[in-house]
Amino acid sequence: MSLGKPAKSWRKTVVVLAISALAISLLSACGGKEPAGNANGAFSDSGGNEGKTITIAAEAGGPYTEFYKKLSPEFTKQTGINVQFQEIPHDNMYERLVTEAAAGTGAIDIFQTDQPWIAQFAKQGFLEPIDGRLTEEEKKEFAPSALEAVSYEGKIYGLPYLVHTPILYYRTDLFEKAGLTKAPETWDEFREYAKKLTDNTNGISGTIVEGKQSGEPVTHLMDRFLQAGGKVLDGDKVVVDSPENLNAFKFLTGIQLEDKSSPAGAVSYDNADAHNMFMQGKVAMIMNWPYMYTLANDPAQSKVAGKFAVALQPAGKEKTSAVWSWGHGISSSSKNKDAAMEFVKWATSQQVLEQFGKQFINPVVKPAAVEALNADSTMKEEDKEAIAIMSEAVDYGQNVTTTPVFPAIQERLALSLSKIMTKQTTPEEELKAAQKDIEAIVGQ
Amino acid sequence: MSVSAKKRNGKHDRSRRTAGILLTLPALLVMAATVLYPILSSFKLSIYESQGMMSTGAFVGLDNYWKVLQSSQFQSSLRNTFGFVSVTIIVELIIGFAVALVLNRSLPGTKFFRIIFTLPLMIAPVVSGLQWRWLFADQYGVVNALLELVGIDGPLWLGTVWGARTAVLIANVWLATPFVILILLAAMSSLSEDLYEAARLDGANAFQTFRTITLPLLKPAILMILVVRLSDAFRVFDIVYILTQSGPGGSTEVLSTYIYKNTFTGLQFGQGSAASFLVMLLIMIVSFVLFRLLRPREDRA
Amino acid sequence: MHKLRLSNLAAYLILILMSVFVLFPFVWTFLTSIKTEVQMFAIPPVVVPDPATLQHYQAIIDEGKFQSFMGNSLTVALVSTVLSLAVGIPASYGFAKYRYRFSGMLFAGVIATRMFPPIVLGVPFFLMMRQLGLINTELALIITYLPLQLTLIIWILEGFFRQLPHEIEEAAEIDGLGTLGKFLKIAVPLSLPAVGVASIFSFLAAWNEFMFALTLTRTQETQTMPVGIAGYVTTFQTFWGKMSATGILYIIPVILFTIIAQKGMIKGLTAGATKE
Repeated sequence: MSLGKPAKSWRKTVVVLAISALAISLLSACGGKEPAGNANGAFSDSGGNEGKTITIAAEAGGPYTEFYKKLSPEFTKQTGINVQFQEIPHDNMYERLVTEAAAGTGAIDIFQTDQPWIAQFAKQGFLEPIDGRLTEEEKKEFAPSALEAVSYEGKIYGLPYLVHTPILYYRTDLFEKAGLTKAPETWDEFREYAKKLTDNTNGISGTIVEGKQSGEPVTHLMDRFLQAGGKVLDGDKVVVDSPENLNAFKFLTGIQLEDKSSPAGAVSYDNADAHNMFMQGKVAMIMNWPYMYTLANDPAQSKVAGKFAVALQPAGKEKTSAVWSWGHGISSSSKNKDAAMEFVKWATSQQVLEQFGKQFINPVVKPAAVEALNADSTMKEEDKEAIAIMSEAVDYGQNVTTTPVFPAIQERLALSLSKIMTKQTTPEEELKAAQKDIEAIVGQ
Repeated sequence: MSVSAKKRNGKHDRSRRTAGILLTLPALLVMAATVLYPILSSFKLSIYESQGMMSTGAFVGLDNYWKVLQSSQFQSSLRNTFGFVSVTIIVELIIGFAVALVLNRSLPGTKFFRIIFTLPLMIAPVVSGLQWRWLFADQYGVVNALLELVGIDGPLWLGTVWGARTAVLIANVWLATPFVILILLAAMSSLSEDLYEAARLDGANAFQTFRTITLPLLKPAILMILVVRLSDAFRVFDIVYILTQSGPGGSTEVLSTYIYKNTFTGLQFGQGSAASFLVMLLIMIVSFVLFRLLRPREDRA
Repeated sequence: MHKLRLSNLAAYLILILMSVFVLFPFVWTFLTSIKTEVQMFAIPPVVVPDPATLQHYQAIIDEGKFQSFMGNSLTVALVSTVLSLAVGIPASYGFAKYRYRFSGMLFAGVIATRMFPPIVLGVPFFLMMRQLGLINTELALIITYLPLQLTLIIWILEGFFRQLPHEIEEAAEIDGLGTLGKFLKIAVPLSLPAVGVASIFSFLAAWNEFMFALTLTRTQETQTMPVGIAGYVTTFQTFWGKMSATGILYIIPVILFTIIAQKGMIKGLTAGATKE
């Protein structure tokens, strides 16, 4: 073997490595895609917003997203701005929006914001304050409580298209059969009715106490806390471990574990399951959000169309519930803020809100739009009544998400609810544990 | 060997060394950039206070580690993970052995069965988790409907502590047992037929042959299964995230989901990183102990 | 004779039970994908839908998300596999045949990273990609998958290369082949089946990965199928029909692959298994 050989093969090796390195860099260049927002950044100096594309992060599977998706071509026709919807399941939305905001790629221009996130997003600077982009008149068009729901420390961080709170849905046909003439107005009545309406031979439950370890059931738990006269935070003070909140838990365990008027499996249900059971005609009463009204009245997907009515939630010590808003906020890393603002304003314009209320039978955030709906002769009387009840419920409501750490609190309470409903601990013990943990969360 | 030959060999060695370095260098650079650097930066996060996602706060030393160790949620996820890892590996080994022994007999049709048993290995854990979530659903789930057919009142799979844990276990066993089967089968087929013949002549029964011949000779394969499956089971995330979301009442919370939540919902980057390092340490210890216990004797010399 | 037949019966019983366990989820998912919503939620469950419907398949194709997720999964998995093979094959060969001072330690280090839970890398990767401005790009996923695949490739191929008989190489050296020549003309061609297996497993690692995809990508232009399919679980309702249809279309290529590549796969795994 000659001495030259190894040295020569060396060079070859180097060459091959260099070529592969080059290939790698070429390949990776092809592999990456520019985020949608950036790609359109190139047009931004052409003046005006025409031809731009804005991306909205929206809740997947929701009727409201469908509504705006269907209506958005109209917006594009008016403004020349294209709209893209990025649908995200609610369970992942918070994490995804936070990481998106923190990453600041500008891939998303508008966040659909659920109430509990606004304080956190605003505090972290993920959302653009929009006070300066609104005239005083425009602000006055909204119900004051609606704008308050999207404000943090005096600044407005988005425009709400929906401010809502759960209401009671009940099956009028089953009530009649059981000899009940009106919706339950108090907790005691509710518990008694649920017992009476439970019909195991026909597979019908009186009600459903959602108990899944997940965020949504906690929104119902907050209602129980408030109705019992309790709360989670008093200013900055954590007041989870209170006799009132204990009563709330006892009310829930009473229905679920003692009366058994909620199906045993409900401990693993969240909203989607409760919704399904109601539409399948398997439950007599549930507390659910206004969105279900239209869906449950659609015979194509619901077996109970025309067989139910709505009422205010039964009152415990107090007649109240937690109010939650959904709105559109502008990402502070958006590269199309002007175009995004046009959409946000359009989405809550009088004309769009009227359609919104009409289509969904929902509470509406602008008093003028409510009046217009009331004057609308094409709407059914019972639908108008339902809107009135939903709006009344909002009037009784309270905002519970005043702290930026609410999502972490919500997650901790989800654990509490699930632990209690699956009998892993007693309400007394769990409230003590939650008090300690939430104090740590708030103290951070 | 002549002097010149030695010299040549020395050069030869050196060039072989350089060749080795050059061949492995690109991969090592990639690993350094994509593993070493992130892990070091993660370590840095773990010794600083975290202030949301945008910035790091003051140096706090091991404070984050203490906080994690003291948190009841970390402790319970640690217990859950240990329970899950040990039970799932035992179940996988039992089923894996039963099936592999049968397949190894090369009865007619075993080839076809082997293909079927390989399928779950290819399936995304997310898809499997969703499938099982649907099968285990309350009311309209098919598992309980089938149980009812044979007169069993099925449990609330996702609504009770042990139901949910069993559900996670079943979904995971479904995904991972094929790997165990394939490895065992491969190792079994390489065992010499003569040994068995000799045992048969000695009058050993099937169980005795299994215990005295098959099992000891399969030690390396079992060790590999243990190490691979151990690290896979420790990192279980997708199935829990999809199937139970750690519920009910945190009874299926495992280390990965705990770290994920702490970091991406709670925005506690420091504690999340600290917990990650604790998990890493743990896996290293467990693997080391396993190697010690199971390493074939002749290697120890 | 009688005893033997009985034990055969038991053997087939085990095989059939295992097959039912393995196949049932697939079968049920397929049946779900061709049911209407009403049939899906019937209590007790409807087994064979009558009439069957293709509405869910129609719906996911019309929505266009399916094509997009599938395309992203394919791009990410293919590119990352090619890249990690390009780097991983020479490295495995180097580790197996060309030892140097710390090569044993480095090799152990590379393999050991396979044992870390990926969540350990979740946070630093997120922060790193943010710094590089790569959040919500397929490139971020490709980079992320490189170490996952590299460890797998090196783990499988190192054992294989080490088993190549020394004599062949010596013969090659006498023929005047250098390192590169030996690598390209002898080692790689001889190990093609193992390379095939390593490619399949690294492809699958990327194809099926969920957690990093969840944290690093945002929009359907870049998201891969695992994240896409998980998106059918929503608060309002879970779209079991669309999800099942998507799942079936997503796993069909992989299943076909398994059947075709069956033999090689087992061989490749054996190379790893007999290494210790």
